[in-house]
Amino acid sequence: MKKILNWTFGACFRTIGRFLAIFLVGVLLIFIGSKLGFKLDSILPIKVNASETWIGNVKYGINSYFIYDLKANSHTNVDYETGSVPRYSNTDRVTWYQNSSAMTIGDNGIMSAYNISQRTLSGYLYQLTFYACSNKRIYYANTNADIFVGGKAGDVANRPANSVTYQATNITELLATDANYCAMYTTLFVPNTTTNGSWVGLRLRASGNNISGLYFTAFGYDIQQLGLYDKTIEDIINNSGFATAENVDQVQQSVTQVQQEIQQTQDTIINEDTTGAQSSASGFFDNFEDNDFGLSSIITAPLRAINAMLNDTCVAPSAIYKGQIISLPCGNMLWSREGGQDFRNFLNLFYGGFLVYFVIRSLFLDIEKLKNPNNDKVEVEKL
Amino acid sequence: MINAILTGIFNLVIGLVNVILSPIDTLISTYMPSLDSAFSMVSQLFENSINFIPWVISWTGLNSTVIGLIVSYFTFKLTVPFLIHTVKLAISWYDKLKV
Repeated sequence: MKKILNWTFGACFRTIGRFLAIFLVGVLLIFIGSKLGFKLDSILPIKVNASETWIGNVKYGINSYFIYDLKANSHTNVDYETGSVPRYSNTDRVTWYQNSSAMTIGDNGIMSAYNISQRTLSGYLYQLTFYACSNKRIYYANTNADIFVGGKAGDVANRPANSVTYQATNITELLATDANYCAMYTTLFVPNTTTNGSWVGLRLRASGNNISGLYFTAFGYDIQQLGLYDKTIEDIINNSGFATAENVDQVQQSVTQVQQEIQQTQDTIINEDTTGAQSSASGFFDNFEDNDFGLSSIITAPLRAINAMLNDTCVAPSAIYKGQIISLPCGNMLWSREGGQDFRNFLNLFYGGFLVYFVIRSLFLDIEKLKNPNNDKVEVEKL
Repeated sequence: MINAILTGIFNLVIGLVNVILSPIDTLISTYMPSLDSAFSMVSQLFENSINFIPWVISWTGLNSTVIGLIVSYFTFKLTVPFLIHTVKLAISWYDKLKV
């Protein structure tokens, strides 16, 4: 028994120590690699890369877009030609102009759609912010920007045959005189395909109102790669980003609740009647349960480690270093790449084959030893 | 299936150990709070280390079947000989007492 206990604790600490040592060596290698400038994007810690692209500064930013006449429920598709000709100038048609008497923001409420030539990678988290200005304040419900990755937003299968006349507008003039109302739309997205991954389709959508004489322009967009997708990072961004109406409402409710509790505490302090406190004092330890003891936790650590090995899924460890989120990606990023799954299957077959061989061999030896009546030694593995 | 059985056994043992050690833990936390803090820190270190295990496994590429096989093998290897030895010991005691 003493031998088994010695082995259990010794093996446990040895194994944990080895894991830690391997991990430290890995971190050191990654750190040295990053200092030397290696860009192994699936192995090195991911640094948040920011890239800002404004339509006004980009020759090839928007590849095509199409405009909708929401009243007629039809649209015109405008494809830019590829080549070296700068695509942006004051007369370029990146502005949408509606000169009909009244525009109905209709069923789908699609106002405009853009194809942005922005390289995106599968499995990475991106934040896209889109800036648009108009000459009138647009009141509509459910405004949002839809992101399509892996295909062009203009590739609508059932595109209506009819189209409206498109009128180009001088952007400089528009911005100087009319585009007083600007809005920013932001969203997080994770491309889940590598097919045509270089395309980002952006569709601005709104519904619920009528408007006439509207000038509307796509002013710019900003795409930031936030590193490999990680739910923790997404939550951090969602929780620390721009406050939504829901957030504000929750904060207000919390403030009200805190104020009420402060008032109740003050009332309790002022109240001189202590009979209630005396009667409830004896029940202080009722329903008191705490299993988080240090000693138990240490002793059960090996079992919890095995449990984690069997059940837990990888959560990418992340830390904030000098204001940047650094995340160590999970190995699935490596295995999910092209050919990775096949190699993984082969690897597991290889591991499994060896294991089965050693299991059978070991069992055979064990049975041979147990059959010996004079042998009463307990076989102990040395890890 | 194997994973579920193993997990159940481990959870049972963890629960039993917690129950058995709870009086000692209570004594330590009541009369030796500093030692309890030290234990808690060591425990926290283990906890943090355990959180890295799935990350390490994800890089090895091992799937759940192979991991289950490894754990089952070592569980079998370490428990069955011990049980058989215990039975043999009990039988030898019985033989001696019988005489």
